[in-house]
Amino acid sequence: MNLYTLTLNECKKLASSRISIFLVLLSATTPLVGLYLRLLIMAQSITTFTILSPVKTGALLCTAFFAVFTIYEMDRVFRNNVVSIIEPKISMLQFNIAETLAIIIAAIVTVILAAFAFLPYTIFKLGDLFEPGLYVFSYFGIMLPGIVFGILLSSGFYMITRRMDISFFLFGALFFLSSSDTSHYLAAWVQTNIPAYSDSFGNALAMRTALWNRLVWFCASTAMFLLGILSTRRYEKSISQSLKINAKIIYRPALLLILIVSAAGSAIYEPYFDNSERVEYTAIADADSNMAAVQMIVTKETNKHVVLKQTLADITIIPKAAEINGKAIYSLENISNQPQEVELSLQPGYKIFSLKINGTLAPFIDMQTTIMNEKYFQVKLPANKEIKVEIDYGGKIQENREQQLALGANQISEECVFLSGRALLPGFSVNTKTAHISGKITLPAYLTLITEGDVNERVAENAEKGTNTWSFNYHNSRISLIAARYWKEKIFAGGIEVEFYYHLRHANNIKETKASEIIKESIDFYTDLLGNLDYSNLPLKIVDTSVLLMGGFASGNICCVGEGIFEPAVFDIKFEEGTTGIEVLAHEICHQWWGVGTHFNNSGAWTSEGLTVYTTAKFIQHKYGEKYAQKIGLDSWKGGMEILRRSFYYRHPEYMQVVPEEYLFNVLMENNGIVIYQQMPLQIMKAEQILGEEKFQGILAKLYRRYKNGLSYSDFLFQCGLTEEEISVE
Amino acid sequence: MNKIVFYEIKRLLLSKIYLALLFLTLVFSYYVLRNQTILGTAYTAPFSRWSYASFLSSVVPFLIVSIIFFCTYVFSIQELSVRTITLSTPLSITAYYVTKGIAIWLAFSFTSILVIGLSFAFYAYGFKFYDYANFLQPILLVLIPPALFFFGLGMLAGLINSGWQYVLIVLAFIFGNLSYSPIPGYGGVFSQAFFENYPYKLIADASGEVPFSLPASFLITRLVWSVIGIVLFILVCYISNKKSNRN
Repeated sequence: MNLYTLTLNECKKLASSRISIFLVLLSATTPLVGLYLRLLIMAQSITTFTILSPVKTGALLCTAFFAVFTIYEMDRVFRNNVVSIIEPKISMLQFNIAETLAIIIAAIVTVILAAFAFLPYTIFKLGDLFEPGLYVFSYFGIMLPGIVFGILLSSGFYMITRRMDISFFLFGALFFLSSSDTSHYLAAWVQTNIPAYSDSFGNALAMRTALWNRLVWFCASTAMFLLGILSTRRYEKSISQSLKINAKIIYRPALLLILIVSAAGSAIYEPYFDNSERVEYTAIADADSNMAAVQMIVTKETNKHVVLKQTLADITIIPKAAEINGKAIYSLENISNQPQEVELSLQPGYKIFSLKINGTLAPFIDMQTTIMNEKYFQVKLPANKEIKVEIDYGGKIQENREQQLALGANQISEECVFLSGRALLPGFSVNTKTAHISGKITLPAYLTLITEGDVNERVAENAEKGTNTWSFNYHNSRISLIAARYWKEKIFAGGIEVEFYYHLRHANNIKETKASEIIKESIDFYTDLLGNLDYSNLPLKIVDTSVLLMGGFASGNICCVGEGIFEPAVFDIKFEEGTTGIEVLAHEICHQWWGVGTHFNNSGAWTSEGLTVYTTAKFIQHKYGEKYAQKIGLDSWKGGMEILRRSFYYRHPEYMQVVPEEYLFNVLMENNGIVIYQQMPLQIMKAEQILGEEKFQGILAKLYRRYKNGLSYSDFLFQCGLTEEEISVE
Repeated sequence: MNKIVFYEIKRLLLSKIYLALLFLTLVFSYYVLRNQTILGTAYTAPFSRWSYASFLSSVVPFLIVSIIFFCTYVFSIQELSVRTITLSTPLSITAYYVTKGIAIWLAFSFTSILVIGLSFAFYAYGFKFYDYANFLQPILLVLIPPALFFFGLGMLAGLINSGWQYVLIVLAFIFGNLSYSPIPGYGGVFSQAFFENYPYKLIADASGEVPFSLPASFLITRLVWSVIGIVLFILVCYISNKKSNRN
């Protein structure tokens, strides 16, 4: 009997078994659990809820079910004592392969059933956002491989140990590793560590890393299965004797070796994350402010004898190949009259093709150091005062390995490009205070480019290649780039031009939520209250970005907000669970005054968040009235303080002295959010109550005008004429 | 009988799988103490009975996995093959299961004592707290009912088909680790969700601590799960007895 016939027989046997039919039907319904409970996800988007959560939960449950079933089925012939009957007629090796293949076929049927069963609901729920490719990838790239790996591993474990309990324990240990360790994307072999799906900005990095994970585990689980096949006991001999007999056919051990090397090689040389040194932090537990702070230990210093004047760059981004190519010319000034050694850093995935100093090719030494996603090189500069360095570079991104959990940083994909700092162009560790950067970036024509600084003008079109070239110009040494299928809406607010970029797919949501009106009204409000933004020649750019960037942020004159907030149900003030989209949008815009326009000397609870939260609440009060402002403002802050007051360590600060230092950090870290986002705004509100609203708002405007380079808590208290105790809310 | 029980316990406790499971359980217990219990449950002290109950209910799924694993040994091929010889002695099938049960429960108690010992050491080192008598009630309420229930269910699953015991391990582990109970109210066999949420409904005393006062419905469900477990075990003995008499 050949393998094909044996497999067919096993399939027929499974098809007629009530247990296997029950298993297939039960497993096919497991995505329902994820649909209902929304498990294993980290950010909110409708595609995440409708596809990712069901598939990840389904993968986890089905893998466990099928692994148990595999071990049970493999044990059947031994349990029923029929090996001695089967072995003279059929090769046990072929029999084990056929049994495993039949279970894999049952798993394929299960996933096909599940994919078809959930398809109508998914299409109905997602409407225009439904992407067939993503749906197919989710069921056949996440769910099915997880189950197949589980079957191969458990079958391999059983064939090696011939013990149900040990096989189950070994499988359980690997399963636990997958479900608990999401800090390394290769560890999550069952459900992958994709944290969320973006509705509109593509999921290229998530899909690429998941597929690489599948490659590694395909090799590893097949190797384990093959090892199991080689361990199949022959003629009631021991495992070592059976191994000798089974390995006589040379292609078997050779294939096993190839698979082991492939698994190890693909895990060690995975292409998506760098080998950044672990960043050293000092943990500061400050019992006085009820806070814990993390401070990074900076190991790199800048060369102050060299000044970067200007950077000119010409960059081409090729989303199809996920690649970037660029040329950057740096104008440097050596003020020491001595040759200088400077450090040049670059995205770890990129290569320097050539480096010229004043027109001559120059050497550069790889320092074999990668810190915070920057790979360092050493360059020797001559003693000349004026130096021009020209660098040709390019390559594919290797993300910071610390980002494996969120998968939301630099990326080049066909739907979205997000590059910041060294991911866009190399930089020198020199004095950059007066630096200026400008140049051109070429992209496919369907993508709209946004960078910090001036208006990005389309300076050239290449119809043949289907690309557009855009200009950029910014007074800084680093720059960020965002590109996607954007629609640009111009808004005039607060005496400046505002460019509101949103994804074309979100046009209806933007219209329905009237987000543009909120932008205009909030900017007008903040300008009236605090003063004009210093953007007389620059536009303020408000950008709708992928949910994978995890929330909003501000960088220069760019203000980013996650796509999820424009969902009408989330945006509206009637939204009752958590923060509304309006608040997020108004909050991120407000950071242009507090945080970007005014730098903060952070200390304890004093950060830009306190004044931003307070000022946002004032806007909400102005727009929606006292009642709603009370709900998201005072009531919420008081609620936070109530939590803080009720917390054990707040009531018993003496335990701060008892709890060992290494535990204290965990204890205080828990309070950070409340202290920064709720306690501080409440203190600011108390200052307003003491001084009166009008006078206090005058002081805020003064703070914004006077302290652009550094606003400390003592500056705030001094301008208010109040003491820390007077505005204490403890 | 004592000798048999002693031998059974020795066999369970010295098995490699048990030692590996014990190691995992202790590592996980320390992780929970270090990262969750230390913060205190529902604003109570980290050494309050609420926090301690919450800690135990997080670790319970690991202990339950050990119990069901022990139950698989009762129905393993090796065990079934020697059972015929064992039962040819004056030992009845009920006495056989009771012996196995005692051994399983003593092994479970040993694991639990190690976990509890670890937590006491943590409290002594972290908080200079030594009033452990306080924790007797949470220990009994959190550990015993699910252990009894899964012991009974694990034995019944083994009697029907040993494959179901492994399915039970998977389900117990997955549902035990979710802060979610498919049974509404506080009726779930795992009490993690209850201990995390219920204290918020209570009014704190003058010192700010929430009294450890449990609703009658919760106590009744603990009793019900325990009784179900015992009944299932009796059922296993009854069915086996009937089968062996028929043979």
